[in-house]
Amino acid sequence: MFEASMLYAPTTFAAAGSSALVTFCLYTLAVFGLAALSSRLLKNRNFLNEYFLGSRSLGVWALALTFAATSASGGSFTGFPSLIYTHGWVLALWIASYMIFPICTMGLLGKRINQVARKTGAITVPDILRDRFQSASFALLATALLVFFTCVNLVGQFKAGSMILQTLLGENATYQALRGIVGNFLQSSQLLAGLDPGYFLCLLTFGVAVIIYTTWGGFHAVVWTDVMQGIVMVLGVIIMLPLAIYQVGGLQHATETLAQMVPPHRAEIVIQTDVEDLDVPKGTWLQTDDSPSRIFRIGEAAAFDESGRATVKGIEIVDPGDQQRIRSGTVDVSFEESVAIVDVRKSTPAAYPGDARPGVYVTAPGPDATKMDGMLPMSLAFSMFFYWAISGTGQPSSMVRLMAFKNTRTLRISIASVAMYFSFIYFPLVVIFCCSRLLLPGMEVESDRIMPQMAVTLTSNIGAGWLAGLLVAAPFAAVMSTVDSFLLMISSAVVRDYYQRNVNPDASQRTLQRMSYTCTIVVGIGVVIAALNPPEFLQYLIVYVGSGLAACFLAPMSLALYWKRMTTSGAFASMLGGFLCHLSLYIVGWLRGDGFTKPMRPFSLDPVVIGIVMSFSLGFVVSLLTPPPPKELVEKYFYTRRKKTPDGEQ
Amino acid sequence: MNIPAAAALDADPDLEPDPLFLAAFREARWILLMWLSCFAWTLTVCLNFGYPETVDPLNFPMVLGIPAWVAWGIAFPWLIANVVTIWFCLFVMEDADLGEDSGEAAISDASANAPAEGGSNV
Repeated sequence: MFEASMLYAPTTFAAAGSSALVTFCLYTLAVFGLAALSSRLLKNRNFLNEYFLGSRSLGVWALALTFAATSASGGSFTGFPSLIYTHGWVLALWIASYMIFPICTMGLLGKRINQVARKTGAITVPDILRDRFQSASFALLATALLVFFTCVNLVGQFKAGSMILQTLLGENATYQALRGIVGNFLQSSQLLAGLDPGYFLCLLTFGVAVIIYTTWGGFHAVVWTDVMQGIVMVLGVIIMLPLAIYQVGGLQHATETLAQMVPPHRAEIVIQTDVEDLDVPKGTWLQTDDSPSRIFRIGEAAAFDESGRATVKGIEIVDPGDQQRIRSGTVDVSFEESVAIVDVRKSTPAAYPGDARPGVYVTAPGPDATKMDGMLPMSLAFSMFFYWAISGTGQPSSMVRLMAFKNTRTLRISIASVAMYFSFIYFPLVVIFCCSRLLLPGMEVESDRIMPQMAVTLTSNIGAGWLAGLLVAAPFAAVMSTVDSFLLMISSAVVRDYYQRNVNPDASQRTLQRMSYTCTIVVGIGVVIAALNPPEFLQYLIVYVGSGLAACFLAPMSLALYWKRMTTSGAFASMLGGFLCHLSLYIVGWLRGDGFTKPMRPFSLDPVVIGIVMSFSLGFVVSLLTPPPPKELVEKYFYTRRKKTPDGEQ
Repeated sequence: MNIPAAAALDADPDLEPDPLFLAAFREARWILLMWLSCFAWTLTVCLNFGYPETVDPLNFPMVLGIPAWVAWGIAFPWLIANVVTIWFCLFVMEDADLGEDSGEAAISDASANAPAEGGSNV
């Protein structure tokens, strides 16, 4: 049934060798080099325009790759692979609207937003809204929402960056020594005692690196690094795809095997050891003494009591194929022999399919540990198609890039390029991580680490450990390119939209420069602190933020650009209505005890659909109920002076 | 929706509707139509063939190793969407003058002219 010879063993970065680390360090140095170059551009130019918008000079490749790299966040390279691994082929449907994403997100608003930004001298999204609606308070509302959502997103991105670094450093001797020192420091601190020293150390390293190069270089640094990161990302996927397909014995074979797989059970076991101070970390493999043994992988570090016992949660591998591969050594799994399982308290099948029915990994709605209707029920499939392409249009980070290209030809060619680019990223990712189920069993307990682990496994298996550095750089690049853009967006919101516009309109360039640097650093530090205790599921956090931003910004911006009758009151109603509607659905879900990942879904529709529909409706209705905008405003945004012919005729 | 200000502006012989606004609006409607077409195709195919009641794992329909419902419902329209997107960008979208950057508007002009603290690089 399964060709053992085609499967390879997983490994760690330590085994992959220090060459991976060297490759990765070279990549990081290149990022800093680009930041240094771009900081030179800041001289002799208007600081705010250059620092936050690159003087509106983006060419085709810069626009295409910065747009793509910013859109493809940590979610694309950590959360998305994690979901593919956990739920299978259904993720192709989940992400399907990326087929139309570039033309929607860049084409719907691109030309118009750039024109209006030039006309008004706007540098930020709230800038445009302020001028269009002649309302400082509306701009402040937009700024506040922008800062709120972006900060929440950054927390998730920082978590992803830290996790990737952890996998990269693995068992590196220097890292382990530093980890020990940091561990001792954390133990001695009352506030930080419970933190994982490895996560803490990597979070600090990642945070410091990104904050420095973003602060140093501004928009151009972000764009140039985005270009490099965009290339690294697509190269990473293009290299991983054939390696993954080859190492599982072909895609046909992988899908046939997936079709027979059943999801693991959620388990709770009691374990015991005689060894004092034994470290049994998350991810440890255990088996019972019976024959054949039952196989478990724990999802949390064991905390042994005085009698040497501990109760831990994890998963039980029940798929016969996985069991056979583990027992035969086809995949590299080492059991912790000094720990015995004394009781299996619970071993519950996934809520969907609820039994040992095969085929769930190759069909919709896909298996789900907790949801009775599976990962992607039909109604949610509808919402997700709406979500990516339409709500993607409402992302302020995309809007900022659309304000920065230099002419319409640049926009046209960039859209076509991004369309090709995303085709080389997203569908191949689905293929790669469907294959990963065959190479790396039991990753459900730490599925957010599947991408770096897969990169290490694939390259080590062909004896090219150095290549792992480049492949791990791909998700790292995705995280960095999003984090830097968001950091800059927050500092622009504070410096431009709040300070310069409301507090000190006569601030000198030097003052604004200092404030921008300080703000970027302070926000970065604040997010690092918030990320010390991050939420578990990165992708859900990113979906919440993305949908929240779309519910707030898509309707007001679209109507501002395309509807003459849109009024300030309508804009307020649209933005606040979208925000409150979206938030309240999450709060209701939380109050019902379903947690943050399961918002209330009226008519089985996702909050983003309800939020956007509500936002558009309120914008229309309230605008029609309030006095129309002044003639001068309509003329400025929607009319132009007729050009006179040489003989004076119009 | 006609509004008094717009009616007055339409009647003004010195003014005309912004051509870039009109072109962008026209293109936006085509783009929405493209989204709707992809939406209809993908969901029709996937909802009909991707959610089977039972699966025979040994005779599972595939195209080039991809589940058939994914191949026809997602991979195929993705390919078509790319071709249409490229055609639309190269041959349908119009080039237009985006206008001059008015700098940082009046407020920034003021700040640029304000005396620098300890010297300015502007």
